Amino acid sequence: MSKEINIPEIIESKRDQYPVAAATVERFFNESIVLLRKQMEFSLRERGDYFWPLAEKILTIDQNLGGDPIKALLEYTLAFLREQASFMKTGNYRYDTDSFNDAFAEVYDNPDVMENFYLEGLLVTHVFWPIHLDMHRFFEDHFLSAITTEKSIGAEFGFGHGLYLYEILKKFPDTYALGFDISKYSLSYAQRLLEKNGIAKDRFSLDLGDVRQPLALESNSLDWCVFAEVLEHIPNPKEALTEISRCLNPNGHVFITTAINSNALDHLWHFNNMDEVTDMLSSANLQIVSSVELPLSNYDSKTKDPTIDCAFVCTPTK
Amino acid sequence: MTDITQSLQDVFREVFDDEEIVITDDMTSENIEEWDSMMHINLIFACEQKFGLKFALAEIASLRNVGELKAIITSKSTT
Ligand SMILES: C[S@@+](CC[C@H](N)C(=O)[O-])C[C@H]1O[C@@H](n2cnc3c(N)ncnc32)[C@H](O)[C@@H]1O
Repeated sequence: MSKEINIPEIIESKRDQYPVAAATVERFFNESIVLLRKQMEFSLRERGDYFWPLAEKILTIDQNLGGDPIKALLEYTLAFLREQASFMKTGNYRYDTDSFNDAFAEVYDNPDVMENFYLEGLLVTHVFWPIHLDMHRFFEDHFLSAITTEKSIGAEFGFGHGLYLYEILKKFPDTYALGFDISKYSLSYAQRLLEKNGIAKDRFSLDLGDVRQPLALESNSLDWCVFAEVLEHIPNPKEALTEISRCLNPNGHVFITTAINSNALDHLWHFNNMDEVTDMLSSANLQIVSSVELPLSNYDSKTKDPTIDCAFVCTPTK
Repeated sequence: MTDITQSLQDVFREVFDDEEIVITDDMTSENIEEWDSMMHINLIFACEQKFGLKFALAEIASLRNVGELKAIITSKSTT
């Protein structure tokens, strides 16, 4: 049975310690009467200890960028739900593996989407979507702890907003990060996110890059990689994973996430179940060190939405 | 029952797959357990189709109850 919670009381009790989060969560509950409300009640009830510090961190990052997090969140969520509702009727994703160029034109190369709500919206889903909150917790518990603290070099492919790069660079002062993304809007957003949040310019280098192509990096050259929410966006996910495995050094780790039965504005690779993902990882020379499977029904037992998110920490098999 | 109320009730029964639903103005997502984000969108889509109109983001987000939904539909259908 779910406990009753008193939202105004909880927000008040957090205001001194987590002022940015408390103000933003309050705005959320004022502005969103149904969207994400049951899921947010779940987070406050079941994930409070983890929720508040992470919310303060991410919403402060967003504030330093001059964002409008609730507007971006609701627009992103609505766009996502529209696509997912259509998938639940038709069984098809918006794009197929022949139409990456359409996704590029309509999403990654489109400022009305990327700058208007996509990048900021996705950033703050790590606070407001419990499924992404849990994914973030897995990232901290299983991936950040796997990176050695010595001088290391790593890369994120498809970094989008840049939150993962921020987390890694913040936690490990001796690491250097490369980043590649196909969108010039992701590039400028993540660049600003890192700079406005205290990461020195000489600690990272972000560039345009396309993971559908072989990576222009030497074999065994990376200590860590992040490849989060990109597999389902590209027509050749297995090749991209194989390339990442090649570039990792034998003791390196990669953090990988993807979505199963989950359509979005820009999804084109449809994973039907967890086995399809794990089979692809092993056929791409990756060994799973730890994993988590997060069905949306964990957060809302009545939902008919079949979304499952999953995350992995892998090492290369060499 | 007005036409809009009747049609809206049909929409609710279809979306929630429950022939017993009787809508009232003060009904909220608290009263129907299945009424989550996804059902909310399905409800909005079904209304858009049935009444031939489009909802704005702020309207979708801030709808408090069935009465407000009816009010939006009424105002959009008469303009
Ligand atoms: C859903 S976002 C993921 C952002 C972030 N990694 C996260 O997990 O929240 C997908 C990102 O991948 C980028 N992307 C899509 N196709 C790509 C490709 N072929 N090569 C490189 N980046 C790509 C998009 O521009 C976007 O920034």
